[in-house]
Parts: sequence; C-alpha cells; structure tokens
Amino acid sequence: MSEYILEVKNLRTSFFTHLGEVQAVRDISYKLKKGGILGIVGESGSGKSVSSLSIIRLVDSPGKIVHGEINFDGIDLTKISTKKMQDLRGSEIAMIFQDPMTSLNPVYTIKNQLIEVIMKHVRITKEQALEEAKKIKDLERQKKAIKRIENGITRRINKKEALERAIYYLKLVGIPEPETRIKEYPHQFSGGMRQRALVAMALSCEPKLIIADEPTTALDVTIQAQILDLLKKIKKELDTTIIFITHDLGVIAELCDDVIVMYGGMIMEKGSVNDIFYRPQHPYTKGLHQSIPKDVVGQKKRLVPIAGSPPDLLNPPKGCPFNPRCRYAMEICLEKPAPLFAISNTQSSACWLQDENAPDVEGFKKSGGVLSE
Amino acid sequence: MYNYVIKKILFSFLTLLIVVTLVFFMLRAIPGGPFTREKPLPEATRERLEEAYGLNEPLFKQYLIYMGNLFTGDLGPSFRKPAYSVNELLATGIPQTAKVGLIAVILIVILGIPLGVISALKANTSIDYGVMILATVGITVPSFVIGSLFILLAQNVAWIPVGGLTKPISYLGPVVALGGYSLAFVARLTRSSMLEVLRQDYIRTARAKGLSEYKVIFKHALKNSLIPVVTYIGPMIAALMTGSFVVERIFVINGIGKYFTESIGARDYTLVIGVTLFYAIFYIIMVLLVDVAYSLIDPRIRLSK
Repeated sequence: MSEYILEVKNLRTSFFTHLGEVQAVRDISYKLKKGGILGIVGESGSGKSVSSLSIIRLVDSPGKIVHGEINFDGIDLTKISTKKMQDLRGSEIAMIFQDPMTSLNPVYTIKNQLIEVIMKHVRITKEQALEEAKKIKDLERQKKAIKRIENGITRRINKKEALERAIYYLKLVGIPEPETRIKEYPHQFSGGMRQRALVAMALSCEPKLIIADEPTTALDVTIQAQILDLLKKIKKELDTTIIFITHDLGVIAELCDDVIVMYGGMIMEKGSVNDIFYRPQHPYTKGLHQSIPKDVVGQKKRLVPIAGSPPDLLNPPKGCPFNPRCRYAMEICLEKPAPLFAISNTQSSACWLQDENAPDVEGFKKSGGVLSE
Repeated sequence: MYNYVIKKILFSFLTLLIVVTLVFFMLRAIPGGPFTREKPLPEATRERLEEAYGLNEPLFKQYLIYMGNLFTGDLGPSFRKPAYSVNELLATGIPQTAKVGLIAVILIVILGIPLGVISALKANTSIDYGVMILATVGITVPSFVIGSLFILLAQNVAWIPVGGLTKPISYLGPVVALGGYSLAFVARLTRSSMLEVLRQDYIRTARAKGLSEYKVIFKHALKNSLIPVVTYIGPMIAALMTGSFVVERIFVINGIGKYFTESIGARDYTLVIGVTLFYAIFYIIMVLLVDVAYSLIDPRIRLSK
C-alpha cells in the first residue's frame, strides 16, 4: 500500500442545470499523505466543497463526477457500486458538515443517531470474538466459530456495545455527562455541543479519513476555537487523516500541515502551511494574504482587496480562471490555464510567471520545472 | 403530557357548554319555528303542539329545562320526526356516516401518504406528473360532480348499486366522492413536505453515515415530513367522519350530514343542537389527538403549560 491514503486524479465535477453545464471542479489532482491535515482554502464557489463531496459521492443532483479517479486506500471510489460506497461512508470516510444546527435530525435523540452509524459499520474485534468463542461449551461448535473468526468474520456490534462506544466518543469530544446527555434531542444541545456530537459521530467508526467541510463557519469565535482544539487533539490521539475545508486562512494556519488553494474550480497553489504563508508564489494566494487584517499595534494600513469577482463557472474564462483579476496577467494567461510548476519539493503553483520564459516580477521566483502529475 | 390532556378535556366541557348555549339562542332568533308551514297550521293545532313540546314557556325557562335534560344525556324529542328522539336519530345516523367516513380516512392514509412519498422520490418524472395531475383533478373537481359522474357511470353496471349502503361495493361511490379531495390534498402535501425535508442538511448527514437509501427515506425523512400532514389529517378526519350533506344526499344515505342540513331548514331545534354537539365533541377530540400526535412525532413540541 502506498504512503498516500487518497489520490485525486484529474477530477471534474459539473452541475447539469437547465442553463447549461456549471463546471464546479475543473481538473484537479492531489495526493494526501496518511496522518496529516490538509487544508483546502478558497472563496465561495471555488469548488472546495464540491471537490470533497465528490470524494464520498454525495454531490447533490444535478451534480455529477464527469471525469477522473479518486483512489482511496487502493480503491477507485468513482468506479465502485452505491452499496459498496455506502459501506465506506461513515466507516472509512466520515464527514463533518458546516451547520451543526441543521445537520442533526431534530426528531431523533443523539443516542439514536450515534448508535445508528456504529451499528451499521462496526464489527467486534478478532480478540473479542475469540474471547466469546472460548465460552462456547460445545467443542464442535466452538471450533467452527473460531474458524469463522480466523477467516475474518466477526459479528456486528450489538446495541449495548454500540451505546458504550457512543458514550466513549461523546466523552472524548468533551460532552459533559455523556451518559445522560446522550438521551437528549438535538434541540437540547447548544451549537457547539451539536458540532461536538457530530464530530463524535464522525469518529465513532474510526474512519481513515475525515472530511470537515467548514465545520467552524457557523459557530461563534470562542466555540470555533474549542472545535479547532478538539480537531487537533483528535489528530494527535487518533492519528486520522483530515481534509479541512475553509475560507478562513487563520484557521488553516492554526491547524493544517498542507494547504491547497482553490479558485474557479482549479488548484492555484499547493504547499506546506509554511510555503503558503511565508512564501506564497501565486498572485491569488498573495492577494488573499493582503486582504487579511493584520494586528500590528499603532500601524494604520489599508487592506488591499482583490478587485473583481469570482468567475462564472457556467462560462469560465479561457485560460487561467484568475486572469481577469490578476495584475500580472500575460497573453498566455488568457489562452491556456497554467500547469502546476514545481517550486520546491513541497510547493507548486499554477501560474505562468513560473515559466522560464516569463518576465521577472518582483517577489516571484522561477520554478524548477513543471510537475509531472 | 397527562396534565395537558386533562386540562384540555376540562376546558372542552366549557367549550361545549358555550356551543350549546349559542346554538340554542341563535336558532330561536331565526324567524319561523318547527311548526311553521307554507300553508299555516290552524292556530289551535299549533298552540297545542307548542305546548306539548314546551315551546310556550319563556325562552330562558326552555333553556334551563333543555340543559337539565342534556346533563342526563337526553337530547329531547325531534320536533319534525315525532316518532323518534334525537338520541335515536343520532344512533342510527352516526354509524352510517362514520362507516363511509372511516373507510375514506383509511384509504386516504394508506394511499395518499405513499403516493405523495413516491411522487417526491420520483420528482419530475412521468410517475410524479401522473400522480400530481390526478391530485389536481381530485382537488379541483367538487364532490357532487364526482358523485354524479359515478352514478351516471354506475347505473349501467348491474352489480354496483347507485344508492344506499346495502352491499360492500356500494361504499365505493360515497367513499370516492367524500374522500377524493382529501386524498388528493394529502398526496400533494406529503409530496411537497417530503421534497422540502429531502433538501435538509440532516438528510445529507444520514447519507454521509453510509445509511441505505431505504433508511434515509423511511427513517430520517418520513417522520419529519409527516408533521404538516398530521396537522391536516386531524381536522380532516373530523370532517369526513361527520359526513357530507352532498354525498349523503346523492347516494341516499341516512347519515347525520343529511339530518343536519334538513333539520336546520325544518327548524328542528333539538336535532340541530344534537348534531352540532356531536360535531363539536368530535372536533375537540381530533384536535386533542393531533396535539398528542405532534408531541410524539416532534420532540421539540412539548405539551405543558
């Protein structure tokens, strides 16, 4: 098995509306190492959510994956059956959504909704199963049971065990008195508690990958900080891989190891968190940095917004999607989208300024060449 | 919840008292009386009749006598059907009406809700369009048209009687005419409610948990989408079980819907109050049941005050 848990190759996802094809994700590729947190940042409509919903194949109709491969742990998720996909959702790939206020079903208890996912996916471990098998009196039957277990077949977790597990994870995410609170309904939980419950739900089947789609956007700032701390703790303790989608660069800096910057359905720049924050090489990434307020005491400085507005994905501009707003735009930028130029072995930027024939512009260094992938 | 129900029941007695009182005095305020005829009765006959039924007493005394009898469960004699008491008329009329109403209610629930769900799941396909066209017809065509059409068609078919409730098949016409509108309405309501719920975030969460589509629809979506349907079904049951004058007239059913309208025209004071009282009691019960059903479906609604 490779060191990458997830490999997205040339993914295109479009929405087929009556106005025409809206290309939400336009040919993106990336690899995700096991055990890290990848941040995907971009403004509304940049394709960050759709690209991650594509991974678990939950893009709302009329959206469809048009092209590409999504290799998760050796399986191409675009090719498997719906049934197989349902087995992976929740158990191997879990998702945390944006708005905790509406993401829990109001008519069922937290317990019901947590146990449901656990009972669907979790089987008891081999050790537990063998322990149980030893208690079987009839030797003939015991032998058979052990053989089954050796072949990797163990029974599904029962309701009581699922409840224990649910309570364990609620405790882990910091719900006080989980034994009693678990019996409550979502409306009896505050926003922060609901998001914790949803995080517990995502963790409960020990997934290999968690996709968090703006999990803090709908929360107020103090609760945001708590949820971020929780995610950091989880990453440390459980060693899960996390994809964290946000439009908030501050959150990215706080949490992530690697960053992908998306714009107009394409990847503009990717690199380690240090690359993106200290050595941004794409005009769009630079623009993002200039539009964040920086707290320097006593210093008055105007924010520099990126002029213009995001591209219309129904009729995306030819060439680089950022060209209408880019102050460095050259002729080639209007004709052809830039490939990802490798800047270092961690960083690459989809900008023609990296090409060896491009004029020198202050603050941009020339790349070592085009990335092969 | 029990406190709530008990409180509601106590309050409903007050409501019933007000209903009876209002109807009693309002009926007396309408010109004419039970013994007014196109060709007037001889003065002496009318006076004797009025004396026999106690209508010569002062109004307030009549009221007290009536209420006194009412508390013992006696709804008094019918003025226009002298052979029967109101209790007897209700006892024969209610079962006729209720049988037709109950069959209609059952059909609406077991057909209307599934049709709505199917329509929502197959939204914008030919199945959906088919169901919705039928539903629109059901809502727009009034019951007397459906009833008359049915009779027009059924009179050529020997084994379908066109009136009365003599055979099981004879329920078909009245049930369709009575329940057509509500069936169509429930189907439409369920469809739109289901479509609304399917767009909710918690449905996406359920899918992201890896639940089968069956579980997503029937566990997570259906319960939520039934909340508005229950609101409609409660009063609907009350309306259907208390019958429809039009349907009972067309299909010659001696139900209370027919009694009610006839009794008002005939100024049959006691029968009017009797039927009104039955309607009121039934409505109150249904509204109470809707409240209880609500709190069972939606935990956010708590029955306490």
